[in-house]
Amino acid sequence: MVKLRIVLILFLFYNALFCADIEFKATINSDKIGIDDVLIYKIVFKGVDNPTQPDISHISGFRIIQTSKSSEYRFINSKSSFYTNFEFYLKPLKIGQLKLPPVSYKYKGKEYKTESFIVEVVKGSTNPYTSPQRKRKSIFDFDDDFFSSPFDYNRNQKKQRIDIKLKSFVSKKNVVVGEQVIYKILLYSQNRIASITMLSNQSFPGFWQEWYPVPHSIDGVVKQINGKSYQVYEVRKAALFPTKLGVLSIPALKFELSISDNSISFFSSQNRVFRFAPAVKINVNNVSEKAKNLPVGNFTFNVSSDKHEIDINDILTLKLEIKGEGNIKTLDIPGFETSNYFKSYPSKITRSYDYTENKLIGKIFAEIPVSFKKNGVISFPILKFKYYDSKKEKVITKESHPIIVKVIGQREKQESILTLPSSEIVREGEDIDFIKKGKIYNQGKYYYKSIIFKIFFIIPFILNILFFIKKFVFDDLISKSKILNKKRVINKTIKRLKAVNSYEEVHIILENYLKEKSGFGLSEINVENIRKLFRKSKINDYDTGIFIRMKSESESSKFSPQKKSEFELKRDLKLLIEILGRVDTKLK
Amino acid sequence: MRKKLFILILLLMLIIGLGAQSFQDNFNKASQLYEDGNFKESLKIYLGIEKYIKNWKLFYNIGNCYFKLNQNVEAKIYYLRSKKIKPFNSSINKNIEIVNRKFKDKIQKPKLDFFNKFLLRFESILSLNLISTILLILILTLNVFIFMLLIDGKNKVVVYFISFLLIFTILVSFYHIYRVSKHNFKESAVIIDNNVELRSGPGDNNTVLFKVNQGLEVKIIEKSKNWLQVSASSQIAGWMKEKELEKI
Repeated sequence: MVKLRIVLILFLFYNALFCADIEFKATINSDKIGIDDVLIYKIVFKGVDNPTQPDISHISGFRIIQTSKSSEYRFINSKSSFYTNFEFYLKPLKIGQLKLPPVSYKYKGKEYKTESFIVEVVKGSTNPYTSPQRKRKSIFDFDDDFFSSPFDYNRNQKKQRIDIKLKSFVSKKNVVVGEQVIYKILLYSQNRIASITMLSNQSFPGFWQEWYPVPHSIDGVVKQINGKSYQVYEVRKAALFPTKLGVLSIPALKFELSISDNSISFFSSQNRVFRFAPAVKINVNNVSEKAKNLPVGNFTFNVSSDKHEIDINDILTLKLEIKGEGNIKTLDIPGFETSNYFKSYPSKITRSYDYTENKLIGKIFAEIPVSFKKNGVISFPILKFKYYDSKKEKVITKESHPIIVKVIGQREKQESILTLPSSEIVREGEDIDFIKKGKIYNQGKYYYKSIIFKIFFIIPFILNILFFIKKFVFDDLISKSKILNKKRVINKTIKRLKAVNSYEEVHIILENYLKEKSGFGLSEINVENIRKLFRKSKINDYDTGIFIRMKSESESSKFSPQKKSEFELKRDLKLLIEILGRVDTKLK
Repeated sequence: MRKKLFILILLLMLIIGLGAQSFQDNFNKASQLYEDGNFKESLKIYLGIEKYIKNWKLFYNIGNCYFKLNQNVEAKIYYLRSKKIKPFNSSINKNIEIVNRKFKDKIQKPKLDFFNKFLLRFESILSLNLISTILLILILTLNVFIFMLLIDGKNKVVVYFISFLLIFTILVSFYHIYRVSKHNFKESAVIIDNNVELRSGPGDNNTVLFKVNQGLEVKIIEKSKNWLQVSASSQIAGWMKEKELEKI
């Protein structure tokens, strides 16, 4: 009993520790809908990193008309959690009770399942507030103002209680083309927020942008504004790089928030509100003619080699690194011109980002393969990297340190294998080829190992050998051999005599015997000829007499009304076999 | 009796058919999991199929799963198994090249001369099963003609035909024997441990000639108890313990 409790406690502890953070749930917006309505089937993931869309193709009776994915924070008991939602908009195809079977999802080797639902589909629409105009609106057309609900009482109640604002901030309002601007959206709230979802498009015209990854939890800070205490959260952040001149606008961004305050939920089941992060304008100035098309920011530049001595047949890899705040994605990497001493090839480029509090720092790492044409001490030309420093308002040129490599040995072959075609293609990364699909069959099964193969291999030979034996050994030798034939005929005759059931059969067997032994025709087998043959073979009269008597009795028995008994038949046959043995040894 | 036999054959065919379909379904499922980025689960299913089926696509996909899970030695082993069946597939060769970059020891294999290249291409087209089938057909045809000769006696055309068939069958038989022996002798392997010592003879008392690392492909030359004589190139060869490598 104690052991059972310990196991139970350990099990609960394990669940609390490892399983409690993962959630996979499904909900529906209504269990009764009209055939003209749309059912929203929502699947929520909690604690799953970037989940893939669950497969709901097995749900029958509905047609999927739209799917959407969103992520949100929920604040529960001052702890924030990251949720991913998949919404499937399902159009019923028939009237009646339709079942939505459970949806399963595999994560880290474990299978999670949602519950099943039964939805009643009736004629027409079940939504009494749906006007024909409203119906035509897209399912994504959410009301901007939460207070447009038909329940006026609740509306007034909530209007007094909800105090949530979104504010947009930019790190700089006056910048030059390509200069980095940090854009962030802060949430000010007096209410307890359950979740927040960004609904607007994340791309802004006139900017190249890199959004900061959405963290799994946000810590809020308390701020006093006009005597009111607000909880402030940084909900989204991006590094923007203007690509156009003039006044550029970051549009207002729409957010959906769920409030978990008890007072609000009490009056209505609806606790969603929509807020906009206001639009922000940025003045983008031009740079001087010299600085045009150069990266803007502050960068470090370095080129290095890990080898200072190399065999002429080997490939040297030079490492180039550019690091700093700027539009790393669009940077051009300086390269070496091919000389009489060496040849450089397209480089392998890796880009990475470091998301710091106040700026986005990018890093480009390029590996440049170089082959050598001659041996000796080779000095690589100094590479230059130019950028525009907006703080100093001037063009900065950074130079690589001189690289000197001693090339030794003799070239084994001419450059044929090292000559690569010049191309505009830039290698961005490298990966293995994708998996192969299609039909598979067993290629490890070998015919030669199977019994059928062996049988088919051997049997034709055996059959031919048998046929050969029959034709050349048996037909030509055995059947024509007098010695072998002699024994064969007597044995066959005795065997047939032993199988006799009636006396009438005996004379036929004896006639056949004589036919084979003497070469007589059937018409020639009579008493006189038998006597002549037996006498010639020196067979005594007693044996001759019995042989002739038994043959005659057998011939006449079919006409005789008095049949011999079984005992008499056996006795006579025994005597006949005895006599035949003696006759056969003497018969030529 | 005949009816029972017919039902039995039918059932057997049905079971084989269902089994093959289930392997195909599992293969498709594993491929889908791979596409979804679930390499661990995908690998599990592929390895389950591998117990019953040997197929180049399967080996290749297993290699890919291992590569994605950073198990490069296993990845190389499976790529080489796949290459053994399909030596000229560009994807296999490319992936081997990529996985080779993950290993310390890099030995460039000498390029095949025209004859060896032709032989390898010839072998890849003429599979062992195809050779077996050709041999079987030749044997059957030869026997049919021998039978005709036995029945009809001397017939010039039949005799010439038998002579030609006999020579051809003997040649194909020899080639079949060569292929079977080559198939049964696993000649290549991959080193699975780091700092493996290649010695001058089979036994710990012999001199250490080289130290090689995991991922290196070697050719097995000879076996002596638990020791194998291997060569990685024309200059690097020696004896090593059998457990330190995985045969392809």
